[in-house]
Amino acid sequence: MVMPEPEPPKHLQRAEVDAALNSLVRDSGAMARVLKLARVIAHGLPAMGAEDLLQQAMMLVVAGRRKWPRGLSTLLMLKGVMRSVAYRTRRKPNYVLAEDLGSPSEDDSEIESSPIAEGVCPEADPARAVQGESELLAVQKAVNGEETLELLVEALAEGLTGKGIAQELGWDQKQYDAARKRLSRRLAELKTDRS
Amino acid sequence: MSNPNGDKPGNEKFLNGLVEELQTMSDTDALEGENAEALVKLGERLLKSAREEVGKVRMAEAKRKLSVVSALQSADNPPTVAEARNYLASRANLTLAARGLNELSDEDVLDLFSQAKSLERAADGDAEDGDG
Repeated sequence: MVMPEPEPPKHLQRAEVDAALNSLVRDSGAMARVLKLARVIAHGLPAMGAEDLLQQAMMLVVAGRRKWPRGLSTLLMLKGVMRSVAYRTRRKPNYVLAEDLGSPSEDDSEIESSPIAEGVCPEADPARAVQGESELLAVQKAVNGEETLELLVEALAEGLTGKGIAQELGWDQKQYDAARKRLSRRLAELKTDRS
Repeated sequence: MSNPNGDKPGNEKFLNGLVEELQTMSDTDALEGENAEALVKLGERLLKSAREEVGKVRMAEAKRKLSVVSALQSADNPPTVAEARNYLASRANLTLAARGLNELSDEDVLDLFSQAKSLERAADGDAEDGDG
């Protein structure tokens, strides 16, 4: 009788987390993606730049204070943790990360039980969703006056992605790729309080 | 038309869509406006710092736990009067007490031992704070 293979743990183990983060920082493309996202999330945070935000997210992940659901991409994992740090920083300007690294808190269990598909984001609370509008607004301001990019951002805010955007806006693949590339450049130029 | 984000608020749809766009675009497009070499250096620096900070917090936490255990052990296993006298006699900085050690009652010796240990722990704590 063949015994069934034991199921892997629901969350990545410490060595797997270390390996995933090592892979991230050695891959310039992956770093570019996560840093662009960090700039968007850090926009408007008091005295915290994108790099600070990313480092704090890394600290929480390294310390095992944010469990990494198996199968969740590095970008989605860090998106959730960065939003959690940003939310706390907005709520408590004197928020000390070291305290979070020490002992478990109520918010941690809430974050850790969030659905995988959503990463680890705090959207369940309406108050959080309201404060989070600044992320969309940050990008809208950055592309203000560039009609193509304004349309692209609007389409994303409506929940469209990929081919859906091209179809909705009547773009061919070339136009869609060009618009996306320009948005990528704007995100590289997005400034935060500390940059 | 692909609309995987349903009825979520605009900001959530936007962020989810942005992540998807970032994940599906080529490395060349993702690197638009960025310096690839500088990004790798930045990533390595951030991760190194993150690991060092976590290491410091873990070390401080371990020391705190050890000091609690030590304090509990002291309370659970008080020394004998002879051990307390030997300890006090061995402390060069307790000359006043040591001079009159033989004249102290057993109760006073144990009390002095307890005070000396408290001072020692406080001094250790100050030294650790100074290190950090």
